[in-house]
Amino acid sequence: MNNIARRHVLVSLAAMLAGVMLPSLGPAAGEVPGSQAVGLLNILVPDTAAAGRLGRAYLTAHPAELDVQRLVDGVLGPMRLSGGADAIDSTPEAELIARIRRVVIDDYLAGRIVNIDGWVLSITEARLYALAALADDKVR
Amino acid sequence: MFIDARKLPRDSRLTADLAIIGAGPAGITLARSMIGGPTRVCLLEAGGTALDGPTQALYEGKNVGIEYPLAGSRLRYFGGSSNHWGGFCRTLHPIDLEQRDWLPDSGWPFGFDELQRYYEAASVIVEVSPARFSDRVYWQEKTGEHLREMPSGRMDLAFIQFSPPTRFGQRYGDELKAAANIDVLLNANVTNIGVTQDGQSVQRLDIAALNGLRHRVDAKAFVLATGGLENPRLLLLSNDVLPAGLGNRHDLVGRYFMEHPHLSGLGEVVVPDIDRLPKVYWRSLPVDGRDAGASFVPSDAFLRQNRLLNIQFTLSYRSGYRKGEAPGNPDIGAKHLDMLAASSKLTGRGNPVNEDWLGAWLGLGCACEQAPNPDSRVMLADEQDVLGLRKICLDWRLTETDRHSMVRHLENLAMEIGALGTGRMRIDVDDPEYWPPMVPGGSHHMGTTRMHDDPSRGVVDRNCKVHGIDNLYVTGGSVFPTSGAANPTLTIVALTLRLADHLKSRGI
Repeated sequence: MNNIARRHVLVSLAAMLAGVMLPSLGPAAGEVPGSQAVGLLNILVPDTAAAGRLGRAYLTAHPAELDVQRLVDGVLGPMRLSGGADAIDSTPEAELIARIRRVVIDDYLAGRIVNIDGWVLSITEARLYALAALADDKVR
Repeated sequence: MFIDARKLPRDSRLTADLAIIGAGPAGITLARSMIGGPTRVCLLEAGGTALDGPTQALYEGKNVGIEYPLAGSRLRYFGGSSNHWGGFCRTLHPIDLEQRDWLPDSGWPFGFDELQRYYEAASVIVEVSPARFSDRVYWQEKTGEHLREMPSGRMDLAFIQFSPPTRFGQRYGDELKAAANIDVLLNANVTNIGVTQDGQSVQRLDIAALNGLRHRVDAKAFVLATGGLENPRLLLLSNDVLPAGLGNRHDLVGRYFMEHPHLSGLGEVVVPDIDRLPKVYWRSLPVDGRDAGASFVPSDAFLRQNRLLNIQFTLSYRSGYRKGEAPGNPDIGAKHLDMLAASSKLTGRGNPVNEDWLGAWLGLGCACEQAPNPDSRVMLADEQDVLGLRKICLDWRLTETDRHSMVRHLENLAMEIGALGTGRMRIDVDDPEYWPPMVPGGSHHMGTTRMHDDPSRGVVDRNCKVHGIDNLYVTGGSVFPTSGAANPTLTIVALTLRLADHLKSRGI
């Protein structure tokens, strides 16, 4: 996935899921197909269907989290990628994975956890699965 | 010499310097410690050298609390309950012996250092030497695996070393038989510990065999070593001079019964790549002539900060998941597979060695420390056994404190598993508030003749001598003021070795 496509995936994901029209950043946001949105999640979550089931359980238990921007910020913020969407575009996939792993481990160390159907999960991980749930529903 | 009480002339009278009641791990250890010395020992065993139905039935009784296998959790023949012992060995932790301000009635009369002096010798007796129960560096060197410190500081690794297991009767019977100063009296049920009229000294033991013969044993000193259920029962039954029983001036005999609730099915761990976990985390490995495996225990800092009881967790391999194969249990399998699939980038190896392998499921076991509770107790039932003695009545109770502690520890373990970066844990506790009507224990019977230097707070003093009686001692799990979470046999043997030293220092 090239840098420009990644940036638009990020922006378009939020827009698509929230149903909000955003200013064009080049190619129109609404023109990004759903599969590209899923592609971002696939970097971090290979099985979005499985993750989506967990994510739905999380959103059911925590309805206040049903806020796409909040979920996105909740995942990307702790990853400390300065430069926002551009930084995501320019960061190798392996580095993204390493960062999210570190964030998740830090969550466990700090006790930032939630319980989803008995699974004790990092809050960041839960938000990632929540995004997968929303994307999975939208793609279908 | 082995003597059968059923074959002695009627009303025989045996004499010894030291009479030991009970030939389980504690009694046999104490007798062995006297071999070759000046002390003449009579080691009494209610059973014979093999399991016998009518003798075993003498362990039956009544439950008025949590249902408990009174006869199924112990064995009444030479070697005692070591005859069905699982062999798990681990020491208590220093904090287990401390007075913890969040735990009423905690605190032993001495510190861990005093007990530590005897753990290596005890380890030899139960055939797990060398004693390396908390030595992560040793196990790392011996297993060749990287055993990192637990990442959060909230948990530690402790190592269970497995005895073969030592069947004390089989292992040490010949040695006792050959010892010139040891007589083992089999099929000898103690029916009364006879004291002087002022109740301050034991003079004799009244004995009954199941064939109707009665005898007595006279000695200078006596040690009760029949286990945490029978020790208090015998003290309560011995009430011909002191109506409340021996050592019971403050109504403590039988109280504070503690077990280690052994709970499984509380949760499970899934790992996409089991090779990222040290094997000793989830199975036992042979090292230096004995098997050992890791257990997960809370750190002292975590216990103090959260004011919790102690606990011990173990993991064990249950099943693997492969592509295209249906899980054995569809319901739980579906949950496992979803988590493995969702989290594999977060917890698995970047490039899996085997693409067909989805991950593994590890089962979770735990043994919980129980809070000392005076209302959890051994009493005497109204019903009598065939010897005319009142049977045991057990009122085992667990409290919200015990439950809360367990649930909190489960959450802590789950966080630690997550922080290791290799798996995810699911907690499956039906009801976080209440204990079920039946709770499995470890056949660990503790607390019922607890140690305290203050006679109003303990049945025995720091040297295991019964308060108010100058020549009666008790050994075994019944003297534990607190239970910790470690399997008790090793500590029972260590305490008995300590008692042996004390008796020798008193010229017994």
